[in-house]
Amino acid sequence: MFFQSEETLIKKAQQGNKRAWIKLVKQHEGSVYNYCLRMLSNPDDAMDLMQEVFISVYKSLHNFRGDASFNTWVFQIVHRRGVEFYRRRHVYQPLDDTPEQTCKNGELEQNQIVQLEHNQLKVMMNNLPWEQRLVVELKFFQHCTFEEIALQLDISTNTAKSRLYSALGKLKVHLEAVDG
Amino acid sequence: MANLDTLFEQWLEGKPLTSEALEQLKTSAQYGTMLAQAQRWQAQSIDYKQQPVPDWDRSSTLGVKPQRSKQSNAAIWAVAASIMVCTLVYLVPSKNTESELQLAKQTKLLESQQKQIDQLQNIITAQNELQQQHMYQLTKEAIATGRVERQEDINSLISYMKTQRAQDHAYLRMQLNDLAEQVQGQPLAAVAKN
Repeated sequence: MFFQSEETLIKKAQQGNKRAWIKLVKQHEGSVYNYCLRMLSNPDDAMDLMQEVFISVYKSLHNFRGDASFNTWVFQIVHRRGVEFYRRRHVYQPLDDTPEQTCKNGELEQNQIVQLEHNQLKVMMNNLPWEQRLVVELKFFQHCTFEEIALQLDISTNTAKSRLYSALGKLKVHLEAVDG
Repeated sequence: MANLDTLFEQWLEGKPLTSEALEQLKTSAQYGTMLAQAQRWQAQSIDYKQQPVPDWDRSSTLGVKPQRSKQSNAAIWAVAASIMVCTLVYLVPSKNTESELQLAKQTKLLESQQKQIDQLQNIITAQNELQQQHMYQLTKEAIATGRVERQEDINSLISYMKTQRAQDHAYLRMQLNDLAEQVQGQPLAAVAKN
């Protein structure tokens, strides 16, 4: 199998080449899935959102001009679809709907530690409103600058900053409440 | 305060701070706590283990073909066809005696090719507009459906609340009636007096 650059794959996918598209999906699904998982805290929802995202990306693939990197462009779609998904899910999700914790492989101890860390992250994320959650995700997990955050979310850098500061304040209140 | 804000922003942007500046931030009541929270998030980010993506049907994302592919293919074919015809026309050996006639023929042929290209371009533009209109209609329908669904949900919530309220009222009324009956049944001495 010959190596194909991302640019080539995109061009081929734009011309309707399925294999090129699947390759592109495979290259980006990890980052998109983990983003969805952190933002939604539920593997099933993360899968649903990821699928919706890639459907959207494929539909508007012909609009990609290469002005920004493909990854940045994909994540702009991820943010938009994420907001829609969250609003939809937020309306219909019952209050007591907490997903069961599942363990698929046998490495129980390792899984439990990872699970514990993820649970902590889940609690911290769930404590934030969606907009602040998004800024936290971009700042700490995707290591974007305030300017990049502003660009991706189509807001001013000051708004990005104030959302992050509010998120940090909220976490403090939450931790104080947890610690008693 | 403005200085601390700048320092904190610099720290958040990943720029290195001197130990003095960092100490300044840590000792500040406002920025010290925010710094601690930010460090906590950073730790979470470092500790975060990327989860493997579960198996899924990637080809399910291929529901709709990218619209550009058909159009660009048509355009490419049109241009390629015209180039080929032009090349053939130029490659045909021409005799000096018939040169003027050949030239006229070639000009006519080129003109007809140009017309064909223009027609194809028009068809592509028309198709594009049609698809845009379809997309617009679909989006409008999706928005309208969403609006109706929201309306229905709100209506059902309101009716539920109304029912609940009516039930609460009925229950309170019953309790009050029970109390009234109890008070009426008591001897005068047992009734509280002001």
